[in-house]
Parts: sequence; structure tokens; C-alpha cells
Amino acid sequence: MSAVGARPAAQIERRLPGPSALGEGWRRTWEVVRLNAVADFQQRYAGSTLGYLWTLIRPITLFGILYVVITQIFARFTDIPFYGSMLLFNIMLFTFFSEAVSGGLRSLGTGQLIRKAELPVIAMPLSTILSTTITFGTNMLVVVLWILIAGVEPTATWLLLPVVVLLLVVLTIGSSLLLSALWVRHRDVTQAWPSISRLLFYATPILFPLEVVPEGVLEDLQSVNPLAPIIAEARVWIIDPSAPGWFADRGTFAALLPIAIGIGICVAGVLAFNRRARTAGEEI
Amino acid sequence: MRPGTAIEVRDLRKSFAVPSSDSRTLADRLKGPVRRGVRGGLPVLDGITFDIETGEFFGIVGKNGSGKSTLIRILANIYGVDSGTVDVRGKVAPVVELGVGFNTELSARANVVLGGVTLGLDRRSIEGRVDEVLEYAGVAGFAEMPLRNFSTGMRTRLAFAVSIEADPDILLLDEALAVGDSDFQERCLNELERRRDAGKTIVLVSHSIGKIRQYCDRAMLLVDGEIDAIGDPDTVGLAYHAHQTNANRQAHRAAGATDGAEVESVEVVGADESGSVPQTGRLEVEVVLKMLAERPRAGARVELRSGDGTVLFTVSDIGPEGEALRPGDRVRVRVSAENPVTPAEYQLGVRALATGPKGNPYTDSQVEWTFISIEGHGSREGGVIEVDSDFEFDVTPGGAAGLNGSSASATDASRDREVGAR
Repeated sequence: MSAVGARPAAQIERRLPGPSALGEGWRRTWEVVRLNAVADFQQRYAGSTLGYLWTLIRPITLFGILYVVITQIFARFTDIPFYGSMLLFNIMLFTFFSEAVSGGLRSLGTGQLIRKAELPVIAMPLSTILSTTITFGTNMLVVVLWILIAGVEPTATWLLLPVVVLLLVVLTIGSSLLLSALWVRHRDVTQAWPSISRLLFYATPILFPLEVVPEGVLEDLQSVNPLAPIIAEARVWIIDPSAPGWFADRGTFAALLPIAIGIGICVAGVLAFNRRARTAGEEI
Repeated sequence: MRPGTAIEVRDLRKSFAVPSSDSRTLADRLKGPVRRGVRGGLPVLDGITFDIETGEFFGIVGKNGSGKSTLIRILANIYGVDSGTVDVRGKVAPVVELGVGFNTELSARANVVLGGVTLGLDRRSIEGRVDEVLEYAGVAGFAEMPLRNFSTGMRTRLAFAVSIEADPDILLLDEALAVGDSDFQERCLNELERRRDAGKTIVLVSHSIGKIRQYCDRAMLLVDGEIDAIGDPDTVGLAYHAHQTNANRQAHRAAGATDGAEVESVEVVGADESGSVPQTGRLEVEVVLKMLAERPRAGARVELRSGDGTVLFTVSDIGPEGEALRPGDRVRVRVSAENPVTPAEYQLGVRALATGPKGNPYTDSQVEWTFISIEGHGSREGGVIEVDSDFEFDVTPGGAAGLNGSSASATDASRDREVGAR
């Protein structure tokens, strides 16, 4: 045990500021985030035989079903180059977003921790997002391997994959902050998210690449969905350089709309979370 | 901050939002704008001011809902304040519950780090001392075992070891030690005393006046979010006790009932100035009642409680009928009761009784509490009741001879008793 002896009287006086999103600062926040993310990662699959593999099996199953239904039953998109690779890649990106937000939005309730210890409140959503990101990173290695086997030629733009991941993580954090701030007083968010997520799945060029989406409601939804530009550009960079990119397909001005919405979500998320962090401990 | 204080609280106010119950359902919400809970709804702490000195073992008592848990969370910076200020000097570690941040799926080793960082420790500093913490908790041999395989006792010991490892300048404990057996609790409290002696400040929230009196240098009683008493733990303990036992009485009085008499003084016969009386056959108490209204008869009720609040006995009687008692009259009552308790500390409560203006039923007054300490050397093997006992021994030799042979030294009387006991 630590010595119960004398210690230098360098005791800091401080006026308690109350809880906040960042608490005592970035350094402690990062420490708490990292430790909790690792703990979360380790415990998530404790006691299950296949463990981590489940995070691969789930999206691959979804991919398998959709691939068979679309290319064999409806016999569509067989002329799109590397449709299978694109579908798997897109599903992996989307599943990450959907699962990370789902975990992040209810993270303030985890173990009632924020009402038992002085923690930077933002560490709660950030640590579940980080632990999902660790899984996602390893999943991406599998996907890249798959894409290579499927015959996709590696290009210089593959180096942009981290940018794709980064953009996705930023949007995930922004959405999680906004939804978890709402969750404190409106638990309906938990119930609403699966439906929102399902809607986003179809409003993102995952199954239906940009060039096959007809004018109408689906295209309109894509035009305001901040996930759409990320997924569309990622396809051009990683899977098929000849595919139409987001800007090429929409024209510069319209293309900026979902990006602006994405930035708006992130800003609103930070502001709402920062505000709610001060009382979240007593309200959960 | 003033030199020498660890915590300074000034005019602290805190209330919780009360969700307005009329707009909870969707249908209600559709009818009008979403109404949020109103801040300032339920006052929990109502403008309290106090200091805690550095190196003090400070106790906070109060009923559930008195605001003590909220106060400790504010001192720990887990809740913010509505108004007022809280200044602290040095590192604070709150132990609202033992084992906060623990993850049962992970090893004990990983949990020490996780728990330590959650309590505010620097990761590096705790990583270097994990083995010492495990050693102190007595679970060094199970460092790699997942926490879910630990017994409750092991988990509690580990959690306390982590809290102590945080080695803060100010340690806040919110009934965290209510878990675990009494041996463990005592060990923890003794450890806390050692920290206090080393100059640390300990703040303990407890229901147990016994613990507060035993360990705290000063204490504070919170009643409905206000400081009712602060200072000497004995005085605060009595005030707490009076509050608990007089709650009903106060409700009556609020409803307009008046006391016919009150207790003016209580004296334990033969007690020294510290309230100690020798353990003799009888407990004698002299009570002076003061009449507050005209009543036909007056009397007294005396009760004795153990340190944990258990009522050991209650005796009462009302004086004989005579000329009506008038306001301002004094009635001296001498109570003598059999004293069946073992030497320890007890609480003696006295109420004034007075029959109603037209005879029965009588009303009783608030309880006046005093501590008494029974001194002696009775059978201190446990329990509170001193009973007169005799032991006789009867040895039956083993083997066939013993079965029909008469026993070595038994009297007929003792054999009878033995049979009776079965």
C-alpha cells in the first residue's frame, strides 16, 4: 500500500466546477476512454465460443442474403463491376455506423457510472465507440482481403481508406453525442434508433449504387443523408475508380447539402451533449 | 480558502428537476408543447454553509431524503450546484459505492487499474502498484482470475483496497462500508482512522450513530436539506435520535395538538459527568417534568435502546390523581427499573406523559435523549441482556460400562435440568 506518511503539502485548492463533458481535461478523458474501451472489448465476447468472429458473421450473413436475393432472384446488377465486393464493403461501413451509434446513444446509462464517480461524461459514448472501432478495424482487414481475392486491383486511392474511416467515425461521434444527449430525458431514442437505422440503410447507396437510383423519394433521401457521400466516394476510391462519385453524380452545389447536414449534426451533437453533461448524472 | 480547511461550503443550494407528471404520455404531449421538468422543483439542499477541517474525521447523518447523498455527490463534483460555492483543498476521492468501474468479466489485476482510474487515479501510478493492492486485499493468488469468480467478500476487500490506494487528501464515503461483515467494516474504519492520523480528511455518511460517535471528530445532522446540528458527535447523535423518534410527535403538533407537559431535566442516579453508571442491580433515573397546561395527572415513560437503535425495554407510569396540575407546576418522578443489560453504551429516552383535560387518553411529549454508559464486567461474550446463569457438568465415560454405569459426578437435580433442556 502507499505510504501513510508525510507528503509534500502541495495541495491544490479548487472551486468545484460541477461535472462536464470533458471533466479535468483531454488527458484524463483519453485515459478513461481507452481503458473502458479495452475493457468493453474484452468483456463483450467473454464466454462466447466464437467471440470476436460474431462481429464478422453478422454483416457477412446480411451480405450473403442480400447478394443472393438481388443477383439471383431479381437477377439485377450483374453488369456492375465488383458488385459483390462493393456490397460487402458498404455493409461493413454501415454496420459499424449503426452499431456504434446504437451503443453510443445509451452509453450514459452504463452501470450508472456517471452518478458514482467523477468522470468526464463524454468518455462514456467515446469509449463504446472506440471499442466498436477496434472491431471495425479488424473487420476491415478481412474485407480488404476478400476484395483482393475477388480481383479488385489495388490503387493509390486505397491509401484514402483511413480518411473514409475517419469521416465515418466523426459522423458516428456527432450522431452519438446528439442522440445520447436526447436519451437522458427521452428514452424513446433507444426504440427509435433501429427504425432510423433501417431507413438510413436504404437511403445510403449501399445496395443500390448512385447510377441505378431513379429520381424520386429514394434519391431525395440520399440527397440529405450525410452517410451517402462517404459511402459513394469510398466506392470510387476503393472498389471501382470508374464508378460515378458523389460530386460527379450530384453536381457541386447539391452534393454539399448532406455534407452540411453532417457538419450540422456534429455541431448540434457537441453543443447538446456539452449542455446535458452538466446534469446527466442526476437525471439518468 | 481559510488555511486549515479541507472543504468550504457556502450557501449551497441544490434542487432536482421534477418531471411534470401531467405531460408524460404521448397523447398529452401532442396536446401541447413538451413541458420539461422545472428546475428548482424539489429542493434537496437549502442553503447550507459549513467547513471541514483538514485532518478531520467528519460524519454526516440524516434520514433518507435529508440530502446527505446529494451533498456527498456535490463534494465529489459528480453533481453540480444551483447556487453557492464548494471549495476543496487537495485530491478528492469519492466512494459512493465499493467497486465502481469494476468489470466482472475481467481479471482482478485489470479491475484494480480500471477501478483506480475511475476513482481519479493516474493510470501509470496505479499500474505500478497493482501487486500491492492485491496483496493488501488478500487476493494476490488470484490476480488473473476473472472477478465474477470472486466471492462477495473478496470483491469487497479488493474494492476497498483500490479506494484506499487512491490515497486522496479527502476521502468521501457514502455508506459504502454498509456492505461486508462487521469485522471488515471495523478493519476499514480503523484504516480510515490511520489515514486521518496521517493528516488526511475523511468524510463519512452513515446511518449509524454508533459509528459516527466512535470514529468522527465532528459530525453534522442534515434534516430536510438544512443543517440541524453540527459539532460534537455525541450532541449531533442525540439530535439525530431525537429527530427520528419525534417525527410523529412533530406531525401531531403541526396538526394542532399540544403537550400537557415537557421533560425539564433527566438525571441518571449515580452517574459521573461522562454519563457512566456502574452496573448494579437497578437503573435509577430522576426526571423533572414541567406542566405546560392544566391536566389532572402526569407521568413519565423511560426507554432504553442499544447503540443500533433497538428498543430494549420501555417502562411507564402515570402519577396518582390529586389536585389538578397547573401550568408551571413541576413534578419530580423517580424511576427505578431492573437493569438487565451488559456493560456497553446505551441511549436513554424519557418522555413526559399527561392525561388529557378530561382524563384519558393521555398524550406524550417529545423524547429527551441521553447517552448512558453502563460500566462493569459482566459476561462480555456478546448480546445485550445480562442473565443469571449456572453451568453444571456431567461427564459420561465412553464404552459399554458407561452405558449402564451411573455417571461420575452428577446430581439428580442437574440431570433433571439436562433432560428438561432437551
